[in-house]
Amino acid sequence: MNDSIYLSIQNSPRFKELVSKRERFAWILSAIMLGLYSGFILLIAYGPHLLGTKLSPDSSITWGIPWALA
Amino acid sequence: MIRHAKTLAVLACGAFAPAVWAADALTGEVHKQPLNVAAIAMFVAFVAFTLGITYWASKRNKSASDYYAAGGRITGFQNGLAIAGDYMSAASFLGISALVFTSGYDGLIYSIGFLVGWPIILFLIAERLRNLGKYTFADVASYRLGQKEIRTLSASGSLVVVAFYLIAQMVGAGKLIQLLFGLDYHVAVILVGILMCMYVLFGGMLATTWVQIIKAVLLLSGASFMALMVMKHVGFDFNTLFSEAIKVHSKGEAIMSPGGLVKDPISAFSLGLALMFGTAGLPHILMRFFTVSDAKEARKSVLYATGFIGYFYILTFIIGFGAILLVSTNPDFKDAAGALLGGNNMAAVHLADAVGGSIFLGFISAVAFATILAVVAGLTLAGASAVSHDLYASVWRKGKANDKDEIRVSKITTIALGVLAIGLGILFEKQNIAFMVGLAFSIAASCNFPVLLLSMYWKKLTTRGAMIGGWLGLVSAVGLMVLGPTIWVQILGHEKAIYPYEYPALFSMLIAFVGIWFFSVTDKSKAAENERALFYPQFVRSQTGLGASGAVSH
Repeated sequence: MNDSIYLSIQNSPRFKELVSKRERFAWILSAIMLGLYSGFILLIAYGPHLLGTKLSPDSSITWGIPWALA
Repeated sequence: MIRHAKTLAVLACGAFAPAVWAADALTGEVHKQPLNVAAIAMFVAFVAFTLGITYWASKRNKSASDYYAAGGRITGFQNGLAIAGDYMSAASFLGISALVFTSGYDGLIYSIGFLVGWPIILFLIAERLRNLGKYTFADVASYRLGQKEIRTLSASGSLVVVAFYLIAQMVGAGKLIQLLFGLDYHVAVILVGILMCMYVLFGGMLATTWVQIIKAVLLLSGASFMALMVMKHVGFDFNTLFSEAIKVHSKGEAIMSPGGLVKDPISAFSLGLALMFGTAGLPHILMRFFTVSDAKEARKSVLYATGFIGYFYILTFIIGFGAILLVSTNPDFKDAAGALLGGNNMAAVHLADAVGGSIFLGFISAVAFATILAVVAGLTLAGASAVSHDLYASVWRKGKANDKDEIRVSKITTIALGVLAIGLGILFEKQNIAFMVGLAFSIAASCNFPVLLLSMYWKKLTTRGAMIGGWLGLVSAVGLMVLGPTIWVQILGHEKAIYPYEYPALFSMLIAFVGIWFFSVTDKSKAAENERALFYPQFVRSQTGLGASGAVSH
């Protein structure tokens, strides 16, 4: 129904630029999320003691807590 | 008047009930609690109030758009709360705080898994979904593909996910009510089934949304109060909270680092993938995006929902540690053997008693029950619309069904789903709830998610590819689950599992994506050519919202 409008939008350079910028931004953010989470899971699987290391000798908070909240 | 009668009846029951229930309180795996009058009174108030909302909603529901999508008039903030209400189940409230209570840090791993899916929905799914769809995610998946094939696939995927999730919630509901109110398991399951049907049948999406919003507000405020009291107890210092917990916990310092929850990396990764991408394939969550007016509001609702859900999981972490401090040290909450009364899942409930007395205990119990009702109502609506909107109206009547017939089919399906949920809830009484939820997420991640994502992002996708790959994902997810250790060994009693890992998502997602890719690129038919050409108009609409269905004003 809106074929001609769709076509003109699709061919407009400004639309192309906006879309490609937005897409790249969304994918970068998703990739960061995925990377952080995979890293977290791998760390749990292979190096749980790293997350269990204390922030400082006199604190009970371990590195895993800020890692997980971030 | 009716409410008075109800309250009186409840009070009358309460007067002589403890003696009756005390007799069999020690039998069975789950120990029934003595009848909790404050909890039941508050629960009855919640039910009466939400049924009032349902009545109000039924007056306003005029069209199919009202019924499925609340007319698209929900705001981003309201929808964010409703999504949070749809997603935060009683299982996660009681289960995760119990997991923190027993093993500390491991509980946090679980809650992170449930949270990571949300940014993905925000970045990749929400806007395009809203711009392309009308009532269900199948609208989007089948936008430029064969209606019959893709809608059948999406509806099947939705129904399987809804079924497993619904069973998990029903079983959880039955056990919880048994624990909290001292009602019989079967009575509890039937009660939940009837109430959820009432909300969906008469109130549609509008009533379901408000039930979810109210529940989210109640749950968040109750949990906030508990966490606040815990933090007050330790002088608002996390360090004190953790070091006190380490002192009294039997596992000592081990509670501050990952422990036995994650056995092998492959299972862990598989579950992680299922939770991360499964969220973006849950039909009842995706359906919520059509209740707002446009893509901007959809984006806002994910942002609010993620905030609320993240906040909630931080609260459960504090509540779990608070329970270590205040519940595990108090002999009142333990039986002779030193185990927690009613099992570890009761940690949060006992904590409510410890910080707020019996009235607050009643409040938290009623909120936990309300939580289940809100989740099952959302699930039922999603299942019913998969049948009526996708199977009946689009596949069977080829898009020629009128609104009235479509809603009638939806209501019949709702009743059928209610009966089915009650039956399965009773049949699966002894099943592990967490496993069933994992299964639902795995299937959502292997069937619904790949088809939905690629239909929006991949130009070369064709009907043949989506159909074969989607079915492969669905079948392999269910198949690997059956061949895995839980069903093959524990339930069917075989010696050794054919598929050695708990969760199938890692492999079944791979199968689905490769299947979709292979059968799409090798599709040289004329129809495939057309479908690829339709990608650009779809792309423009998904980006701009031009031609998207908007809010309906009366």
